[in-house]
Amino acid sequence: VTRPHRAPIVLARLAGLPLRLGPSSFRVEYGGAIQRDLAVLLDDERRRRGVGPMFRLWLRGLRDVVRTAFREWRSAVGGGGRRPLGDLSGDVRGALRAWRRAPVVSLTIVAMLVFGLALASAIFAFSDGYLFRPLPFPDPDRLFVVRAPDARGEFLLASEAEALRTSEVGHLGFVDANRSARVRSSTFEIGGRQVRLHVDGLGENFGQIVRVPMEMGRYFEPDEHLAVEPVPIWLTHRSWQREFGADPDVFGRRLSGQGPDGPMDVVVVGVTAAEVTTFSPNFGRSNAVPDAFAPAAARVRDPNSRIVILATPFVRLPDDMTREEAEGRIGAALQAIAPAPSGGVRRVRLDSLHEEQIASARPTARLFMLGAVLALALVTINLVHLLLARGVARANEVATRAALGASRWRIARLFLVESLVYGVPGIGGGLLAGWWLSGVIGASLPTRGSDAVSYAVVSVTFDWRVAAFACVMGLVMALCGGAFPAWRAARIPLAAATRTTTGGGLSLRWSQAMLASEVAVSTVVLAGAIFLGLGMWRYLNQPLGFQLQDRFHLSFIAYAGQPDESVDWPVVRDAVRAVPGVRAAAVGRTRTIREPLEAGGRVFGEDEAAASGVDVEYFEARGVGLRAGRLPDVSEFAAGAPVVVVDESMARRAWPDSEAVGQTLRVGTRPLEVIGVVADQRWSLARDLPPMVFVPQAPTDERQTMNLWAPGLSAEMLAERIGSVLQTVAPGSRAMISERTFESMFSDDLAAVRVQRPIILVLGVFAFSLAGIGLFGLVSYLVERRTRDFGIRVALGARPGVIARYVLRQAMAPAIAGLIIGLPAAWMLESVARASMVGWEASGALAMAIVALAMLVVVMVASAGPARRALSIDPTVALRVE
Amino acid sequence: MRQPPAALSQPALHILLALGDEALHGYAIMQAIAQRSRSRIRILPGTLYSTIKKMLAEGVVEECPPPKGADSDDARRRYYRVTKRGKLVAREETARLALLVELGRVFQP
Repeated sequence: VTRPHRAPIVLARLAGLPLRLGPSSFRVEYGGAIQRDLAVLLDDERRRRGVGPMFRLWLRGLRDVVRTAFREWRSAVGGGGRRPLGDLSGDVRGALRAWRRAPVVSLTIVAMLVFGLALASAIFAFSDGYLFRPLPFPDPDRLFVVRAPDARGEFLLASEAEALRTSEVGHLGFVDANRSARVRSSTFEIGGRQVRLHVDGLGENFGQIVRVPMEMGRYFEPDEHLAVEPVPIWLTHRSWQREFGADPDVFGRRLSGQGPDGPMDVVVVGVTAAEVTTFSPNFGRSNAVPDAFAPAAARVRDPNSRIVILATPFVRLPDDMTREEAEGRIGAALQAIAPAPSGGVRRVRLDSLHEEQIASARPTARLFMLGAVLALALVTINLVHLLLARGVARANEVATRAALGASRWRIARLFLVESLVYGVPGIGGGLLAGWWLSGVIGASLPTRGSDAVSYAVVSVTFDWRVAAFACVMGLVMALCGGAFPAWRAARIPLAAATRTTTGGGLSLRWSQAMLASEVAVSTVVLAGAIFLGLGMWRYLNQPLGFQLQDRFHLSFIAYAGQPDESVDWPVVRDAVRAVPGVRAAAVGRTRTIREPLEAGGRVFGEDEAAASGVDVEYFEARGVGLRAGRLPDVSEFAAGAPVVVVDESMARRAWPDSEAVGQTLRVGTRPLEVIGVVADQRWSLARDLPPMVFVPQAPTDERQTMNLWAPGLSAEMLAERIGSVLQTVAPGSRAMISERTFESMFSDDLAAVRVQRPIILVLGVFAFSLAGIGLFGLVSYLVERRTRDFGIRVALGARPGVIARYVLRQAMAPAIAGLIIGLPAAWMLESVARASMVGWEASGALAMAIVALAMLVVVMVASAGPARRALSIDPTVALRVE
Repeated sequence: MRQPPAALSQPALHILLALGDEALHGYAIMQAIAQRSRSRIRILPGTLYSTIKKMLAEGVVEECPPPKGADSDDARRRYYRVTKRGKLVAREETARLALLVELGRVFQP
């Protein structure tokens, strides 16, 4: 027999692995011979018949080995020989005994697993849809959103989209998910309650083209887009559960309600599948997550109306058409339908529907996943430590088993089984808590506001993927937690194992390394949470530059039959201004002046600065803070005096080295004197305004809003007083008055924060408690291991201060090492977070200082108890410890 | 005292027949079985050693020193030969099979 080739040897070794499932006696006796003979057989086959037959033979050999292992295992069990898995039940009983002996530690281990897994699986349930799962439609990568970028924007007009649908490129299936439905936001009577349903309109054949998965029911018929009664609707899975208690008999049910134009009847013809929440890409600023969908005909623009109706059609490209090809063909068709006004060529861009729907929420999802992974790492480190501490408690058992001849593997298995005994309830509890937590996250997702659609587009479902993730993570954590103690226990020499202080425990070096690693990971997680929290705090507490208190917003409701021209705005403004309690009133917000701006000897481009016309009491009505100079008075305003007010950033930009007040700037050709500098205003939390120049101007244009300052009045009182005044100056006008609040002004910017805040809070609190528990345990353990040292030192006459310093040094040195590792990692996390979170100020240095301080305080507090104990040790007792 | 062997399994009978009066190692037994059956019967190592283990326990084969002519590689292997009891069992089993073949002729054309 010649020595076989290398590949057959490797294959034979692989095939021999299943023998480990059988009794070790058989493996020891025959395992080598089986692998060697199989290798020779395979090599022989390779030489005689080739590689393919060799693999086939290998598979047969592998199957043969598995069967043999099983047969041997059965005969060992049946024949009363040594059981193949030994006394596994004995190991489990031992682990349960150890659990009962130290219930607090055991419950801490299980609780840590439960919290870690709950957090990780809930975050995974949220992030899965954004990072890993495709859209819930068949062939989602063939679905695209059609954009037509030009100077006006990138949306198609509804009429253009409709023309494309019926044109030669119509076979691509232009469907619109943004049509107003006839039943949009209607109130229905469901089970005796009045329920408001937000209904989105869908274009012809939407279901058929997008291939929307349905829980039940059917797609809309093409003729149902005409005005049929009752209007067929699909309920979303969420509203079906919420309003109908997931009643399967809802199909075909008729609902009567009040629509925008009067009484309205609808009939439920379908319920979309759970994974479908909305179809709208992030379009417009006040999207709401729909409760239902209805077929809607394309709206055509009323030639007398100024309202422009936009559309965002989707197309489904055939398999043989590339995106570029489709862009070319649709662009050509669009050019034929509606040529570019300046004689240019209209271009079309196709954006992936998937990207369009989820891109804005993806950075958040990615950051949370990172947080979850770090939290899991923290749990694992703590598990290792706690199980090691348990190793000390089981040292006698280990020593006895070792003395009775137990192999290293048997001893290691004790610890692995123990970690699994914790792992099983930990995983079970983690799954339950994760299921609950993902429900909480799902319920806290915004359903209104500009970010609503991008967050709610993916449903947070605790499905088998999440459960599998939690189980695998739990097993990995439990086994990682048990593997290190097992490896340690297996390596201890018998003599050491019989000494109770070190059996299964850690050497000083290892303890310090553990402490350092714990501090490092805790630093990263905590710094991340604090950094995000501080960023969020700064984001929410940015100086706005204007007052919100006692400020009101007045808007005129336009309705059919009321011509715009019938309102004389300055008269209305003066009448409102004269209402008792109103201290200031200004029409409109600002009116952009599109003329060249020159200030401080330089010309400002359109994106560098903006000039706005403002009403006379604009600054008072909005409460914009005056920083220098004065505001224009009524006489200047009336006389059209050449004066101007700039904001602070404009003043800084134009006259960096001198006072802005008294300087002259030009808007167009007109020279204007700067008489005042006001605070920079913030109209969005996420975006900065450009430097501003405010030119007093009479309201000449159509205005439908007004700013009011009325201290001490409520919106209702104001409405009552203004309503009667309006009847005299603008008969037939209807006005709506609302108090300006932070939430109402920045609702769009707050949606993301509402999602992120609870998760960051939970992550931060979790990381801090875990780090605290872990550090406390480790430091105590570290100090207690040195009890004998302290005893000797005290016996030799060491002063209390020396002992205390020594204890502190023992804990501080590794903690500082951990900080040195953790802080740069946290700094890297900060740059990742800064890139992911738009508009969030960096708070890295402060966050890191807080974390470093918190870590050192925890370590110091954790050392205080053991240090006190060390000082009170009776030397004779300490010396007896070993 | 050893239990009398239960009905001999197929692999066990093939091993007994392959060994005959010789002393062979495991791989040689596999080869002998393949050759004698013109590759129609092939016993793989797992089954082979599992069966040998059982046969050793039942006393139908025993380990023996390698034959003098074995090369150094082969000499490190374990060799097996049939015991007296094994020969008896093999004889009984083949007689039983011969009888079966005889009886089975009723279906032959």
